[in-house]
Amino acid sequence: MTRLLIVEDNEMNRDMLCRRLARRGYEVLVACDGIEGIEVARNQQPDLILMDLSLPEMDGWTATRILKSETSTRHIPVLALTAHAMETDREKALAAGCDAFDTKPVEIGRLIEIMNRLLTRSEIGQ
Amino acid sequence: MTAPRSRRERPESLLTRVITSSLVLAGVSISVLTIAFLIAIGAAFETQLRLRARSLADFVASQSEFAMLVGDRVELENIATTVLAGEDVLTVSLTDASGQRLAGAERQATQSGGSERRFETRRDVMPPNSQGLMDWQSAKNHPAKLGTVRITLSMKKQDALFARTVSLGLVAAGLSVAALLSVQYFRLRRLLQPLKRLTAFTTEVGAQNLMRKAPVARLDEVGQLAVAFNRMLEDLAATTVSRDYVDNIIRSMGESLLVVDNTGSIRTANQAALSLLGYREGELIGKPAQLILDGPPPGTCRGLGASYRTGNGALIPVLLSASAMLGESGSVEGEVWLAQDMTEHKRFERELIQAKEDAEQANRTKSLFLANMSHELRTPLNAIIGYSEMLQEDCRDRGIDGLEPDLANIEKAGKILLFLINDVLDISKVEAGKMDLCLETFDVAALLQEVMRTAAPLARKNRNRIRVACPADIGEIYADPTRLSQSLLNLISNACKFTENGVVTVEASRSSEDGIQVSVRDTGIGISPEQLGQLFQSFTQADPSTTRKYGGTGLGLVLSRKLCRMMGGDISVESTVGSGSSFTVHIPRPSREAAS
Repeated sequence: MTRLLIVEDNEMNRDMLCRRLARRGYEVLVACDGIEGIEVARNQQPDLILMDLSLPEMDGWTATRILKSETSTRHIPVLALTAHAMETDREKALAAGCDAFDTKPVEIGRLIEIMNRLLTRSEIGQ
Repeated sequence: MTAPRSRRERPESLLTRVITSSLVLAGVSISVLTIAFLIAIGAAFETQLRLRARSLADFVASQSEFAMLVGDRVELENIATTVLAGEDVLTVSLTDASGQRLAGAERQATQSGGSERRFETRRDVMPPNSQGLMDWQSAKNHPAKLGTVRITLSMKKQDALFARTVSLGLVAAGLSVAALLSVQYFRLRRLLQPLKRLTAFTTEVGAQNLMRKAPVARLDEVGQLAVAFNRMLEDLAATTVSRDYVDNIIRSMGESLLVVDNTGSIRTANQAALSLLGYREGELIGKPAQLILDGPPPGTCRGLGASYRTGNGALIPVLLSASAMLGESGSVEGEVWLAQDMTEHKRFERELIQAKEDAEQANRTKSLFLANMSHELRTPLNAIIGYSEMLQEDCRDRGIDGLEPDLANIEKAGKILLFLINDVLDISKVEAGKMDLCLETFDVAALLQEVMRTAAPLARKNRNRIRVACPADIGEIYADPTRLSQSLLNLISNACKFTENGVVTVEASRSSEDGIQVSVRDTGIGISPEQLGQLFQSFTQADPSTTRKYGGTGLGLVLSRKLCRMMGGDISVESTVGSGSSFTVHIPRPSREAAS
């Protein structure tokens, strides 16, 4: 079973996304801020991380940079999810090391498409 | 003392000089005439005397003939005494042929007076002929002369007469000279009178009375001089009056005017310049122009931003125009500086710049606010849309009936809100200059097909039919496909919104300048001419009531036009109230620079 980590501070969005993805058969881990996200990623080794960028304690860009700098977590693909829809936000996210980018509100079909692409790539990589 | 004065006065006394020369001329000519006359008179007197003496001698000779012949001495003495009775006879002597004295008489010396001039005549006495007359032809036949008569006449009377004649002549000459001169004097005086008046008039004109006219008495030389003088006066008055006019203009003008000569000194400063620079009349004349100009000499310039320095050292921004001042010969005599006080203007400019910066700052703040707001709005929207989708899935999975349409409405409303937020965000991006286009070459027909697939559900809503006309070979274009689709969808969405049970026609074609144009025509309510004017303004729909009836914010049209303009194109509109509208998107073929 594919294990996902959702790092999201907004409780409703986290809960909604969790339940919709769980319904589609994913094992879902959650974290509420950047620091917790890094911790869970290190310990639980998820297959994919869905990373919100505006987070308390540590924002998503910094967390992604840290994850991508550590050998234990470097291989995990990070999909940035943000309500910042500006073009520069995408570039900023990719520059921080995110592997893909999608905007909120989440369109579940589109999101799963991107997730599948990342997972396939990461399996080939391994 | 006298000599210099007479020398100084000499040019004035033309009269004296003319009279003097007339006097000399008349004196010489009258003297010559008088002398000639006297010589003639003297000669006449002498001739007269000679004739008298001869006739007297002839008379004595004829009286003495017989007495001499007979030798009657007493008779001869009588004759001599008788002759001597003549008033001017001084001596009478009768001699015989041999020269012996026969008789004689002599006037007393006391009687005769001093040493008067004498005239002596001699006459031979010849023996009488038969006729009693002297016959020179027969004289040879007769014995020689009987004797000789000698008479001496006094010239005293003639001399006295001559002297009287001379005096009379001189007096006459003198009188005529005097008469001539007085006539000459008065005539000359009369002739010179206008000249004198002209001289007085000239002095008057010299005292700045240019409007007077010189009197013209006669059209002689002096009269012509006066006429010429008047003409000159008119010209002078004309130029003087025009100079006054120009002076008046310079004094009255609002701009400050300075004339700077070739040495850089100020020669003229008008009233405006003095009050601008804070100097009194005449204080600037002759001063170097660098005193009042802050910075290097401007040279010839037009509308140059410069600074003048006032008398108390303050700098005044001015708009300076300097031009070369040419003399009559065409040589540069200096420069004319015309300056306008820009203090107020500069203040306005500063305020304007400040206002512009404030406005730009406000706009940036607005864009930032919109960006933040859109983020804050998206987060709850994300939940609304997500939960309603999820609940619909739950209903389907668990077979719960009746809830799904309501949940679908929540989801739809959320998505409309999301589109609006996207439009607001896009407009704020365009206005902040942060909208980036992703330009690429793509097939127009394919893009249109994709757009129509998305638009089909929109058309169905108001039971509209949608028609597409696009040549299959319309070809490719270089633009941002996402933004072009967005613009076209906006137009189609609007057409469907404002049309019910009608037809929406989307027609694409190649435009003349090798771009494309896509028109979206509807058979809807149309737009009035007044409403057309405000159509492309943010948050403006044609009529506020349409907002209530049809919804929407009017942002779509504004954004579509902004996007098309960013691609070098535009959106034009034609509409008739009641019969429909036609919006046309023009996308030109981009220029080489824009394409690269």
